Amino acid sequence: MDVRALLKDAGLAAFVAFMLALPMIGFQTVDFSGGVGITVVTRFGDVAISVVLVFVGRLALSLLQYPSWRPPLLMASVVVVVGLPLLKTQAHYPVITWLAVIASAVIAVRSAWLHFDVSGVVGRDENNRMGDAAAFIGRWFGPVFVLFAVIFPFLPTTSRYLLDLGILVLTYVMLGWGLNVVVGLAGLLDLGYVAFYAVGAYSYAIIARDFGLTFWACLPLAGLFAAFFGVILGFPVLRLRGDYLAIVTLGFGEIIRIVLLNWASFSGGPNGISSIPRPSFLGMPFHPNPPEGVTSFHQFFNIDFSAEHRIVFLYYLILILALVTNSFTLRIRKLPIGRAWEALREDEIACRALGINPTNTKLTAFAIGAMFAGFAGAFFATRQGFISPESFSFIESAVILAIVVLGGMGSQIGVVLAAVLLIGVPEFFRELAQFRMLAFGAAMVGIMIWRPRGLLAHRDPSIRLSDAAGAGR
Amino acid sequence: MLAIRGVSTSYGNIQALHGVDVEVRKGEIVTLIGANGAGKTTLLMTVCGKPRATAGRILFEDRDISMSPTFEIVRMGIAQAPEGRRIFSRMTVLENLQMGATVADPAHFGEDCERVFKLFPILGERKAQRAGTLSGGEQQMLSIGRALMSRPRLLLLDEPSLGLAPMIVKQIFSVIRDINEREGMTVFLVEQNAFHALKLAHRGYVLANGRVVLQGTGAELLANREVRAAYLEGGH
Repeated sequence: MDVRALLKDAGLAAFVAFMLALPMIGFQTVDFSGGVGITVVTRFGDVAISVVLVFVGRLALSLLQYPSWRPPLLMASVVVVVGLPLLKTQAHYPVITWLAVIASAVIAVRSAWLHFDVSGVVGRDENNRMGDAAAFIGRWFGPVFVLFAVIFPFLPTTSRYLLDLGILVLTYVMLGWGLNVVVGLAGLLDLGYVAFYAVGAYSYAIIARDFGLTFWACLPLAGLFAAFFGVILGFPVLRLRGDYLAIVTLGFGEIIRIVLLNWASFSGGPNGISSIPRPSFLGMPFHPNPPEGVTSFHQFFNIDFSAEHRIVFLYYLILILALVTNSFTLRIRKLPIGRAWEALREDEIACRALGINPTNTKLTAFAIGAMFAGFAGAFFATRQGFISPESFSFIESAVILAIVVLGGMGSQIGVVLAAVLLIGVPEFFRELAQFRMLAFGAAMVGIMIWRPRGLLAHRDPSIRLSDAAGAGR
Repeated sequence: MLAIRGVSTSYGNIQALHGVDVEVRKGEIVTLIGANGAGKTTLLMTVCGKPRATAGRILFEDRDISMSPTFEIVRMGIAQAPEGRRIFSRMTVLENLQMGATVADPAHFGEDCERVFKLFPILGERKAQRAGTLSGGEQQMLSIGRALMSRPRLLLLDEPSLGLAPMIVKQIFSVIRDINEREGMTVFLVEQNAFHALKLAHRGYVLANGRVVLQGTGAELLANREVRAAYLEGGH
């Protein structure tokens, strides 16, 4: 064990931490109490604490490479036992305490792992193990997740806030599953996916406003329009691949948004479209005092009116839409077209040589992915009751793409986990106030380090022969 | 069956083929040998329509296919095991075969699978395995098997011996002979391994700098002094 090299390495990490912490933690600008101008408050104590923590943590991490598990565990416990009370009194930011606890926990777990892993080699055959784990999760946890999602609105702990959050997460799950067709299966990097979402939302809003059609009549139309736009975008760009395709789709997404922003007579411009009709339950609106001759939901079921009925209904609506998307994708993977998508992702030249028409195959992927975005868009419009180009900025595309990539390209259950993580977890980080995005970013970086191919990067074969089990595994 | 008449092909300014004439008759194994960069793979790719021939005609069963898109050429009954195998490594062996059957009648699928597994028993044992985990030889077998799944009338093979151990090369070549003799499959084989290829083939062409410089039966070419000097000396 080269102690000097270890110390040098830890010292270097501490130096980097110092350079980062000095401007970010060391100085804070504070308003004067009178409200005129700002003043700088220094917090060098916090800087010192961070630097020490990084030094100790880095040293412990390096020590983990050696078969001895005691020193890292010891260091982690010292940080928790001695450091925590100190931190509580000294540090101004709870986030530093948080990070110290989490880092200590990680190091402690890993050193304990070393202890139990007899050979002392961590990460051996990790891919296989994770693959099996992913297959296991997919097979057994999928139905459990669905069951949980179904009973979720009736759990005693579910508040209106959580229900809204659930709708949001499910919307992204659906968008993720839709984009998974394009990116995960067909391997076409689409950075403008939100454009189809916008097309769906605006077509519902405009058709419902101008032609008075109901949500259920508009839903397929919105999907159709979005698919149509998918084909329109697809035709010129599908000879491009990889980075170039990404740039063009990015541009397309922006074009749609900017057109919506500027074509005020059509889309309402930056003011958007408001008072979009709400969906009804089999023609029964959710309204306390429905107009003459119309039975509203609560009257029909003879229950008291509650604003929550509509939320629950919206929740189930998006749940069903998402599950339809999922089962569609799972089915189509087993069809020739779905297999062709996957093959196209791997090798376009080989696909040509096998008689696949790459253009048509890619166009279908684009159109189907866009169609699901269109459905989700219509749902979004009816849920919000108001849409504007603001809601369809590039960052939405980026988030949806992040969900797909993070989940593991092509993995359906991975998309769910990633959507919960990306949309749900930041809500829980609210406690961290201004460090919310920092914690979020750190979580992303961590995932990409430990699971570079996504949370559940496992591909289930689309075909199983009855006797394949004996031959394969 | 396949007639290549005066075909020239260019990559930008660089002309790779200069008026090549090759004829493949029904039931034959025809091989095309030549050094690196002679234009062998280019000729095979030109038959498949990518790159396009800048001059000349390519006739398959008397239909001009020189302007058809690749996927249509394949649907006419030409299958290719491309250079470098190009199997779908994340898919299982069976899924690869399914991809090969894209243009075939799905009703034949089971039967065609059995045929491939009979030719290459190892693929049958590994059918549920991810193709990327196969050895090089097995991948080559999969590539050929995949091409056979479309029930082609003409099989194009691009360097099936590339990077394989001599034992495996022998095995693969004996399978090629097998499907030719038993099923009457017409094979157009591009090879660097001139000795094996010429021993297997009914007729052969020697390509150098984008031109056919020699042609004859396999045995003739094997005996030819120039061929021996250029392609066979020092090997085997």
